[in-house]
Amino acid sequence: MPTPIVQIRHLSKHFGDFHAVKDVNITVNTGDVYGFLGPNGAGKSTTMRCMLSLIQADQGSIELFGQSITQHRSEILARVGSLIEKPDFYKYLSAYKNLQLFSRISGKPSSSQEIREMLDFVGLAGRENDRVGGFSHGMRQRLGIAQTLLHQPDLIVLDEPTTGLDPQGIIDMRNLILRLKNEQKKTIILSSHNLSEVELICNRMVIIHQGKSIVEGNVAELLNEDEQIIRIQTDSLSMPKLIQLLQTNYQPLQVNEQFVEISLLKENIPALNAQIVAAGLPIFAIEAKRKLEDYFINLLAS
Amino acid sequence: MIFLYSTYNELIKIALKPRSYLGLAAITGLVAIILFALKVDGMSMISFVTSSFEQTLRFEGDVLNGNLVAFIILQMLIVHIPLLVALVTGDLISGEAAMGTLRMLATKPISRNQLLGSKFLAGSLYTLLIVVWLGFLAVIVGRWMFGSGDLMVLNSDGLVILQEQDIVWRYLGGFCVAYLALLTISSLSICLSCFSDNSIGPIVSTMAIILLFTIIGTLDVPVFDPIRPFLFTTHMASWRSFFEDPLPWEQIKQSIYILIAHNVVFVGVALFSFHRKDITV
Amino acid sequence: MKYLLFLLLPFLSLGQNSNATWQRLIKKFNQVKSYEVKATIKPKIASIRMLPVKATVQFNYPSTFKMKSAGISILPKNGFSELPLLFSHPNQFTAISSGVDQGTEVLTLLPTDNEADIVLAKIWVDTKDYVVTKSQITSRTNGTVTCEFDYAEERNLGLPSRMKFQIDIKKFKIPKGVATDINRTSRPEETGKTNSKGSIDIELHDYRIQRN
Repeated sequence: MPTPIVQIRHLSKHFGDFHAVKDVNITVNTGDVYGFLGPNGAGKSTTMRCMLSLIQADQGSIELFGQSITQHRSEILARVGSLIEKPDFYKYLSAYKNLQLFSRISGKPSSSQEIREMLDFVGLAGRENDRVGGFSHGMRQRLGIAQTLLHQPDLIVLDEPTTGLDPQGIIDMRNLILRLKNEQKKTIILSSHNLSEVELICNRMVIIHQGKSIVEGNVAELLNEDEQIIRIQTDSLSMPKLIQLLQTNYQPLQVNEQFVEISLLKENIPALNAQIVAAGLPIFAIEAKRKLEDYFINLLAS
Repeated sequence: MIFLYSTYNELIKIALKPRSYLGLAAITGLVAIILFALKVDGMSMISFVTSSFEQTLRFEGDVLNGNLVAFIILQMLIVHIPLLVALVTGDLISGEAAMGTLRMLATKPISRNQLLGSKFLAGSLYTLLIVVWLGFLAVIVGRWMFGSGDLMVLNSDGLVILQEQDIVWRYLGGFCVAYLALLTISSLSICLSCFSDNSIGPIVSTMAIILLFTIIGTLDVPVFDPIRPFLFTTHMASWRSFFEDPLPWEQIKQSIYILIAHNVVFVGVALFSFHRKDITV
Repeated sequence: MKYLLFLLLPFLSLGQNSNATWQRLIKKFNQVKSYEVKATIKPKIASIRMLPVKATVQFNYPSTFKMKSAGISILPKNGFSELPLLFSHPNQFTAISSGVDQGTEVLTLLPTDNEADIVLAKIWVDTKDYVVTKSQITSRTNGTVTCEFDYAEERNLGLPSRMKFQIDIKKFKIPKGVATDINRTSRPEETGKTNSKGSIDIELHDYRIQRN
């Protein structure tokens, strides 16, 4: 039985006339990498800010580690590392000084060596004495992760951690999160616009739309990952033969001159592959298509 | 403990922020100009002031000494120091909000009250530094350049001549009250800072309030008479009551009470609003 | 002619007396070559507040005064030196008796030079010891300065133990920008007077005298 680490019930928040969050319900269990999904303005950031007491909720309850955030703010936040929106630091201070400064009020001040090790961990070794004002966005993001992790939190909250990063930065960030999940068994809450990223990293997720949590659950279950959408690419001459071959056993979902998409169970993919090879068709690619994108779009459309 | 760590952090931020040195540099520059002017042409200023008496009286002794120079410096600069204080203290919350670091701080396990309290304390210490630096330049450097001696205080209704051995405690008392007055400016600007997410707003607002209250305080219009004694700006110059003879204790005490009351109100409003502030930036 | 002589006799005798008194005063003044005395100066002027100041006054014949004080002190302008100035230039003044006032002889001194700084001087002389008990000197530069004298040990040398100067002070006015109490809550009371009277008390003690 998984232990809930975060429980939000019927969260509501107004900003003047604007009802940013209407009814959000979330349960994050220990060890989860939990994805927050939703279009812009859906209420993801507001929910996260309420969770960290940056914003006071109008209604609803927020419990972290079994305690109310309004009543046990300090004890709870001592166990949470967070990076909300972009990582902002004191530009006139060095990376080391910035970390030292945040560390002092984290409830568990870190030693000089711990700070240097953390900077090394996020790939900023050698830059510790440089002013943050001269850092690129990627470097600040890494420094942001460093300040999030420095006090060894049990729960990590990351709000769109890959925004503004270059492709290598995105890969590094993804690997870092996976390392935290696999090696340090951290519970991570992650909001992102990048659906494939969430699909790759998260085991549970919530979709928030117009201030309400409309779907919450296990990513694999929600996306029914046993059944995959497979895209097969061939040349235009061979396309009729391919369609003919597939129609005997499968129902093509989408057909055009370059590819055919079909739905099938993951375990049947090798058999399909063998069948196509046996038919001697020139195949350029067989790839499993990410389903979250379709799931997300369909859900919002409905 | 976390409060002390946070105060230490705030002091480091102030110490490493270039803007903090603007006030100290401005004071140094202004004092240097005044000292130079008084060194070169101080006597003509003194005789300009004492000209009413000169037909019948003669002043013996060193009138233009370090104590008078210090007094003139304080008199000239104390009006401008609020801007230099507000420049740093008005930025303590709103500057962090504008930078985004307030969001980072507010997710740490330090309570909002402790965070704001540490900023108030750091702002108070910075204000103290400004006052001490001004005191050092005015009194110590002034005495070093002009020597010591009795102090001739120039009021609009006459002169008060205070003996040298009677001056140090008056300066100490005067600086304490001047500090309290500047602390009120610091509290006001931090209070306003809680309502803003940009750096410049609270600084300008603080100066606007000082300007408004000063105008109300100096306008000879009876309609303002009932409120005038309760404006903090009326008591900004109360430090100079220490240079009157006999010492107007009741007036000094009243000023102290009113300034403390303003501080309490500003801190209270700041704590209340900051505690409830939604950090959305 | 006899009648006329009879009528002028009192005035002629007074003229002789006043001259004698004047000469006796000058003689007494000439006895002292220099002295140093400790002084306590207590100004009582409405627009000036200060505690009594201790000072040392040095006199050198005929009319040089120097004052040393640790701090700031206030004196009537030329107050110390004006009476010695009269005594040290006896030929520049004509003494005329102005009668008797409360047991003292009043001498009026008129300058022989119309351009002199001192325009008129009146001195009250105790003819018992020939000391000046009061002086009223009007000069072009300093206006009228009135001073009363008390004597103690050095009475025989005509050196006072106390001098009390009466002075007129113009209404004190300082430009707002220079005055220090810009934000003062209570305004100074308006008296409506343009001038005010004041006094400066100088107590003199511990004379160290060098005679001529």
